[in-house]
Amino acid sequence: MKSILLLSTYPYARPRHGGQVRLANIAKSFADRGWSVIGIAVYEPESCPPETLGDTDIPFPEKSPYRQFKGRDVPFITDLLSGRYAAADDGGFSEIVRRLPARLDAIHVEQPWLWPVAVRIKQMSAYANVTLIYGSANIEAPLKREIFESYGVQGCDDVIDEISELERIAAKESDVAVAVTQADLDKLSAWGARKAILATNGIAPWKAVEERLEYWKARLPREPWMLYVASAHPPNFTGFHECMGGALGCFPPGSKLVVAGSVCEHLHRTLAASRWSALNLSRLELLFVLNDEDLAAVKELSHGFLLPIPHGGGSNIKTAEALYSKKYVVGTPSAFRGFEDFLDLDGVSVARSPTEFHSSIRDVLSKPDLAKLPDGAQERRQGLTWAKCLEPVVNIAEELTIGSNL
Amino acid sequence: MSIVWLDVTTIMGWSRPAVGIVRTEAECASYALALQKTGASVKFCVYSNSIGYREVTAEMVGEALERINGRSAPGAAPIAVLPGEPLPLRRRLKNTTLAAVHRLPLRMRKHVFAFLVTRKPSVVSAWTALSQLRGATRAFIRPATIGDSLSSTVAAQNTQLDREIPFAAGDKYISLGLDWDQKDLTYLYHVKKTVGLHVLLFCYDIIPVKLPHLCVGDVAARFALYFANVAWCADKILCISDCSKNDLRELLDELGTPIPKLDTVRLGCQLPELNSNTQPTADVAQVLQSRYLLFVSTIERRKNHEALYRAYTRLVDQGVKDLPQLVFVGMHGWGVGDLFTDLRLDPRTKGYITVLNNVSDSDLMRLYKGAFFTLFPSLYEGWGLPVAESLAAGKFCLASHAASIPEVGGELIEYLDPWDVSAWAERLKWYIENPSEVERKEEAIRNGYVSTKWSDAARSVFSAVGMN
Repeated sequence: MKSILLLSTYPYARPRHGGQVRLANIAKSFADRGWSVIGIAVYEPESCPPETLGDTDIPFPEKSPYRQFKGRDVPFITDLLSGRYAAADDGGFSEIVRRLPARLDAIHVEQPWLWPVAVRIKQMSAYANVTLIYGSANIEAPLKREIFESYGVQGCDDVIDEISELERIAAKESDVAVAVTQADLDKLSAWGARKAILATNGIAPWKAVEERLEYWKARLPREPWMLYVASAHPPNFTGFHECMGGALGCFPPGSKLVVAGSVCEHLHRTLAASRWSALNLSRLELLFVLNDEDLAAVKELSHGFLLPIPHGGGSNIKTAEALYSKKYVVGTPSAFRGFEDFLDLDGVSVARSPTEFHSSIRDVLSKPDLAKLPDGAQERRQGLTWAKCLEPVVNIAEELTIGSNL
Repeated sequence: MSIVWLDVTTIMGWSRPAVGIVRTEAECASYALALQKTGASVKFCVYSNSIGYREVTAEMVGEALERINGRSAPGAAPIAVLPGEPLPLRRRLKNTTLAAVHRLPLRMRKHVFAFLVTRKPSVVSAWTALSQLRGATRAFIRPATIGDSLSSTVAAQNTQLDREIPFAAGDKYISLGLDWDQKDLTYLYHVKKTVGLHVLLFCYDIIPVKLPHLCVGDVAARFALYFANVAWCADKILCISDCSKNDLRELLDELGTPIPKLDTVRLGCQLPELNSNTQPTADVAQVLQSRYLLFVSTIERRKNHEALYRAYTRLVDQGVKDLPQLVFVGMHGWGVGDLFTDLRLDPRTKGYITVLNNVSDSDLMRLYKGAFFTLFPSLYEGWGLPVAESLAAGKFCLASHAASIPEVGGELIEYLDPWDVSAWAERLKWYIENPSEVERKEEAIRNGYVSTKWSDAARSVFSAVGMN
């Protein structure tokens, strides 16, 4: 039996956000193909409740000197700093080594942060032949810059430079680099990746329970409405305003934009402070974080999905879910990154400006329920599942580790 | 056969003389009563949050018009009550206060009213705060889950949606009253879609959204919601000027709503009748004795009385001789506390500026007819009725060039930048020293101005729904 180590900065035992979901499905894909999977997350204890942790996860202590970047307190870079901590002898490295199995065939590093740890492990004689897989979920440097700009964090060009350098090294030094979009794949190749493959984000098919459907039907608008599901990742609410032009007048009276996920309180704050706050709040219904059963029911009842992702790399699991749902989908070009092949599906609209968003939403809400119409693209939608999307990762890992268990 | 329904919610609950928006609904109601007598399929309805839409009879509408026009039978209730509607506490308190004020002698009444009207925002704030405190206390004692709060909201909405509706498929519905205060447009949207109702709504102006700093309270957000809902409900929106129409189109585009058909209708302008059996009040009689310039409008920031006051101080400082009285006729409104202090204390304008309010129709007519010319320096308007009234009285007007005002005066009057006090001083001085020019302008007005009758305005409204 082959074994693989998954290194990340977030646990995936109880996945909530997109990154965790992707990693959990990577683990499942390998496990389903008979691999032994060990996951080690070097995590922020202040952000991860105990019930979300796996047995082998390691905390990045709040008081660690590694929480500073070159002696400065810089916000939003705990992921980068955790890599330094994890690779350091006076940091978490010895704890990581204690958790390693006797034999490893591959190490998958999800995002670049813990790449130095993978490199150090490979330098150990016991793991000299391990195959290194770099899982790039995003091109991180521009994303981090965007977050800094959104929050007015200045004087951090050296941070961005270090992140960019780390990504390039990971791409170049890996045996295979995995991208989630074609654009990211092109970038990794340009950085000198020996082998680069595409493995888009997928979805886990859901089925709503009748009792939950009845429960939510009684509580959600009678008029057709749209659903926005997102985490509290800043672009999910700072970009919302930009996409929608600050106004939700495209929703008729009685209809709503129903929002689920940890983005809710941030979106409410953003819209409550907006110029058209009374209008925007009148068209908003916040459900906050739902369990899987409730989310499945809400997704089933929606008339369509809204994907107001303004820019940024990577691909979005929410996009995959929306496309799989056989509901109307209205999103930015960035939202469909990695899913360009699905833009011709019935009910999919790309909006490039607030005017286009408003017009598409008005149009969608006036149309009949798409789920009730014949679907000629069922097989294509099946290609959106995690099993199908992550097949290339497991395939290449098996190819590169042939003979390693001899 | 489809019926045209005129919503008369505003006038049914109104007890004072009809001005502005209320006048428009009242005039359309009069026109509709006349149409009914010819056999036209016209009916009347009112809306209340507790009952929804219901029909009211022509007799009830007639009584409301009599009350508004001050011709109610002696002993009739001075305060209007919407038929069958249980009054909320806030409305009862308001009605009780108004009834008490109405019982005061006229001289006292205007001071008390001026005192109360400036304090209205604070009373509204206090009422809102108390309501919120009550709601917060309830939520603290019994917190609701997301599902509970949603289910009670949806249950309330669903109850509304299940109410009886007097309209039938293909009927036409006209509403042009105080809709932002009195109507639930979410409910109207549901009615429209359920029944297949053709809806005609009005836009007087979007000033609360465009210039919220010139309005009482933080109104921009609330009115944007209102106009968004209007856009969804209406098949057509009638605007009272091209300026309002363009403003509305621009706003709806920004809000992301559909943009229904937009059209313009001219409001009527008929001067009040002069009752020769009455005598002018002492204040008005005094004004009529000498030459004066007249500005008729609520005295509030947007109307820009400040510009005229400052222009007059310049003329006084320049030593201009024989300055006419500057007469302001209007209720004391919002944001003019400092102006009134200046008028009271500034020695330069003492004796030159007179403020009148609660002026009867006959006295207003006398003031128009006797004016040297009129003034209208408003910062922004949806229409500009005082300019139309001035022209109807045959009087030249020196007016602001802002917004819709040039649509009212056309080529017959002169326009100035409302912010340019020097220009106002200069042109006032010029006309004061060249009265023959004023006479020349008046002759052009007599030859060229055609006043719009209210019946014509009402006919345009009903034509918009295909009833000619």
